[in-house]
Amino acid sequence: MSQAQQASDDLHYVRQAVDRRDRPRNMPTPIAWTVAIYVLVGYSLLDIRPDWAGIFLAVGGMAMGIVFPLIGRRTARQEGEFDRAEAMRINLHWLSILLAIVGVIALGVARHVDGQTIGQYIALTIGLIYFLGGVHFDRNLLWLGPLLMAGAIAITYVPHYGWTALGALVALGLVVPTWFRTRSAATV
Amino acid sequence: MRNPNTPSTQAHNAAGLDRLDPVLQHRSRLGACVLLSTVDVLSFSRLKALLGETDGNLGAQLRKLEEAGYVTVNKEFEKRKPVSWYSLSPTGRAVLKEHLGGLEALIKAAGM
Repeated sequence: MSQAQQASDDLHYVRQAVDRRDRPRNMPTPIAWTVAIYVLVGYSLLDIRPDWAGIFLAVGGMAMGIVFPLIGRRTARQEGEFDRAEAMRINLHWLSILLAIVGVIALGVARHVDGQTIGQYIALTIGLIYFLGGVHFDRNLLWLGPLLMAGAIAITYVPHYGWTALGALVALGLVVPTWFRTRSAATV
Repeated sequence: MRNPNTPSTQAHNAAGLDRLDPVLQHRSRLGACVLLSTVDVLSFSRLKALLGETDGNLGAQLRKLEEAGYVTVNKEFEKRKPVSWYSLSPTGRAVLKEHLGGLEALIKAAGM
């Protein structure tokens, strides 16, 4: 075998290894379940106790923003690899939810938009951020994002428990894929 | 395909060969360095899974990279299990870049 042929074969082997590493990652199971419970409870409160919903969603959202990077780091180490730049990219992506919520609320308040409509705009924006998360990280979010966006619009036409139904749908969309995931043994 | 016997191709081949690093001419070692160049750290088990190598072979190849100063290893315990974390050293990164340039030149010269 010529050296050029050998080099070509070696590069093919390396390419296969890199391709294996580049496969899209799933959202860590503890994060998927926590978000599912948060969405289910938070969205149900919007129908049942709207005065509690804002506090629950705000405090819960901030708590998740603090805890999830730590869970993500732990999961990455369990999988046997860690990269600060990638972790930062993922964290910044999810930070955009906070920025979007603050922006939508500020605009809604300035325009005297009612709470229900602000909630729908927030859900619409988060759906878009989920979709982009699907493009970059977890393919499951590719359909969950548009589902959340469609649900945010559909709530306009649902007289009762629209938020609860949407929360249940999103929670299922987050949790069900984790059941089918073959729980690969920690590679560490 | 380019004729491998022309003087110009031979010159290109020579240029590519000069840039190849002997330590990286083993594909497992090359693969490990390429993978390590894409992240901060990889565990031994993760490298093994990605490269599809056996414990013994990968351990031997990583030791050679460590002796050459191309990778650094950090041994830790996680849940009472020993874990070896590998990262590419600045020397390893520079050598890898040069080696990949050499491979590219070699393959181009061969018209593949």
